[in-house]
Amino acid sequence: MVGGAIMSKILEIKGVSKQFPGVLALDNIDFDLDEGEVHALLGENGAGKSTLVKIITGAYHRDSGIMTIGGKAVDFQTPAEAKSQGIGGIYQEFSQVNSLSVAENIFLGDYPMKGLFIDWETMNATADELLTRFGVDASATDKLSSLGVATRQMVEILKVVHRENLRILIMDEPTSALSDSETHLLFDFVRTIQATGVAIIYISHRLDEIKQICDRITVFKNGKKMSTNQAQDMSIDAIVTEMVGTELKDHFPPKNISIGDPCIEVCNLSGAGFEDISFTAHKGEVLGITGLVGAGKTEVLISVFGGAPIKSGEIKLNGTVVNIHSPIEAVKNRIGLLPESRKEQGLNLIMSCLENISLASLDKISKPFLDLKLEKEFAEQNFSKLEIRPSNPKNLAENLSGGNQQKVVLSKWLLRDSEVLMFDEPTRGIDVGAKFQIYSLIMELAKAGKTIIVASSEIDEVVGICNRVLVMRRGALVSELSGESLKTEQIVLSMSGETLVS
Amino acid sequence: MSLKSNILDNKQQFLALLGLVCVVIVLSFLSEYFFTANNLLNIGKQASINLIIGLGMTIVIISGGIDLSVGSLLALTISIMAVLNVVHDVDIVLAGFVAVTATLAAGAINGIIIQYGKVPAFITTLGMMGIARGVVLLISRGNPSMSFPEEFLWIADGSILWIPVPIFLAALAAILTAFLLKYTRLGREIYAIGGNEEAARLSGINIAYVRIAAYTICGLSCALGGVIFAARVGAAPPSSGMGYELNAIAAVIIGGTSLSGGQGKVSGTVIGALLMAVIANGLNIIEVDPYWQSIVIGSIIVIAVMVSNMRK
Repeated sequence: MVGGAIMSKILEIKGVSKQFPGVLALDNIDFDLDEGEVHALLGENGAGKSTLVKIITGAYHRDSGIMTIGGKAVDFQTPAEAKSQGIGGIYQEFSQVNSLSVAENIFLGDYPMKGLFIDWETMNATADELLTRFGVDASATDKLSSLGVATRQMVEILKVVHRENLRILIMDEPTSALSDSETHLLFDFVRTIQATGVAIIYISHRLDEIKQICDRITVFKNGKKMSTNQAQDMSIDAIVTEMVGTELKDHFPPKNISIGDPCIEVCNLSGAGFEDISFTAHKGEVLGITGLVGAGKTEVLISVFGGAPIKSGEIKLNGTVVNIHSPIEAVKNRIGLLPESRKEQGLNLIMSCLENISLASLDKISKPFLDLKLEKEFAEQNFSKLEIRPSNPKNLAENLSGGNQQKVVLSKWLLRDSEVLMFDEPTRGIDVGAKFQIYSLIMELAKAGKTIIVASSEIDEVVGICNRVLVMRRGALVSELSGESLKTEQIVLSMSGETLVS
Repeated sequence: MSLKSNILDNKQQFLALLGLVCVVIVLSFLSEYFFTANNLLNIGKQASINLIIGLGMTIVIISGGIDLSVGSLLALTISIMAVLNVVHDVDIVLAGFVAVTATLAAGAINGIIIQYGKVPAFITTLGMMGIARGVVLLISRGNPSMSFPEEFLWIADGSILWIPVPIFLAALAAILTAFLLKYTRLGREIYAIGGNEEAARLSGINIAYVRIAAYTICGLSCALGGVIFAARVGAAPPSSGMGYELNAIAAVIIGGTSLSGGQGKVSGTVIGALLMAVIANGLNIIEVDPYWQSIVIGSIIVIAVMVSNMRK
């Protein structure tokens, strides 16, 4: 084909397939990237998006098909070759050194040198110039640890962007650790990068952001490409339908409406990161706590669970004051916590699912020696009840997908027969189909009379599943919404501190 | 144990076992004397003390820690026994009881300081290594106290059901440790805090209790090792047990237990301790300069870890 007009394609992929033992991970995929566009890759976990990305970045080698960059056919054997062609990525887990400065992080691995020594002047000046050019609110000499998550993320991106020849930037779940306002900051930043002509492949589970930031959307399912469309032509419902394959009437299951007696009462609780928090959660109720990242939601949950010290205040369970100084007492009082980061706090990844499930209930299987048969039975019951896949509870926890890992953590507390279940960011990093399953489980538990507290910075989530929502800002409760007033707009207003006329 | 880690452990252990078998075969060809009942029992006796301490070390390492004080704790048992029995004429059983209890307490103190003082295990036990050795020198005044009662030496020379007592005790200790790790609540909790302490804490596990228990058991294993050592040597040299911490750690590592905690098995440590004893004995028999021993053992540790990492 001749002609300059259509040469704005940076990347073209035709008929690419990739086979893994037992799975066709990519089936005859066509894909392309325009200069300066933000292109979303969507699909549930295992749909094929990460395989495609790994082929583009040279981590995998394709079985068939062709790939061209800037019109030239390429065949990457190693990630280094892809990097030399101007392909860079930032991934869910940052590779940053918090004890170093912003400039040192940006230039990590290729510091400008003056002879044998690092050329600090050039490095800091170039870094400052980059920070100003892309509107990042930080200085070259700031310690990375002194910055917020969003800014650190931007620094991570600058590390890739500062390479002169960058043409394709891959962003995998860049906002999973960010609050809504931080996400907006990041988006402004992404637009500045986009304006330099770099094409961005954007992977996220947050569909509303995809609509905001992306120009085109490509949906994958089971290794096949379903469609590529202009983002403005696709409603969120249409996207979800395409990803999940069946029409989901609602993204959320119906709420429980029969709410019982008060179960847990938190009175004037203060601790590190929050001040004077009071609330009551009832049996059968799903109580939401929302707020920006850093508003204190996690701290409140951890403190109620005894995992962090309380300065003052008390907790009542079914009308009686309980002393909870450590998780040991919380567990005895039948409170369960599904922590924010499953991998660091919720699971022992190098233990089997089975052993993770019984971790809080070892007394139930010590008679006085561990009854391993009974333990397996307990695990199998939960595996079939919660439909955990793969279905063998002897698998290591690290080999499960995020949604299934969350179900394993939930099983731990179901086996303990917890009365109060506190979920911290229950669906972070979990794909759409699995999210719905988690929501349904939460509703089932509520209907069974459990008391559920959900802390989440995803507003749609708390609006979708909670009977009542508390909004936190800078460690304080600022409003309580329920019934008619439980609306996304209301929450956004009180979260960010806009005064509500009330 | 879970499926994948079972295979992994077994593979690592399998390599160590394979190494052990190969060394035994080669040595059997090199020396007629090597593969005789007498010599094999001798190897077993040699391995027993290192194995017993290695068992305590296995527990501590699985719990995510390390214990550098084991050699000094072994010496502590020996010299308390010697001072009470030989110098102060206390009955040997009572002296042994006091010595074992004191060593156990020293182990517990390790755990308490690591847990409540928030001092890293490496530092705490390094300190205890020096302190316990100092106590040994102080109470023994550098004197090796050469005269334990005749009956006491039975622990090293006697046999139970034709099995030499040290081997019998080591085997019993290994079986009990394996049972503890697999079939008791404490054992499971040791794996849990070593694999992910925060997740264990947030599951309501009493971290302090588990950690202190792990170091106390390690102290107990040093005490048992010390009693056997005293009976074998028939004296209490204040330098006894020097360098034993490295041998114990080596046995654990060769057996495939990871230093990062949360994983590991007793069977591996048994293989590791045997391999080390066989090599020491074999080099001796084929008249290799004894200074080569530690070069060979050192290389084996590095190679074992290298091979296991290569498969990852």
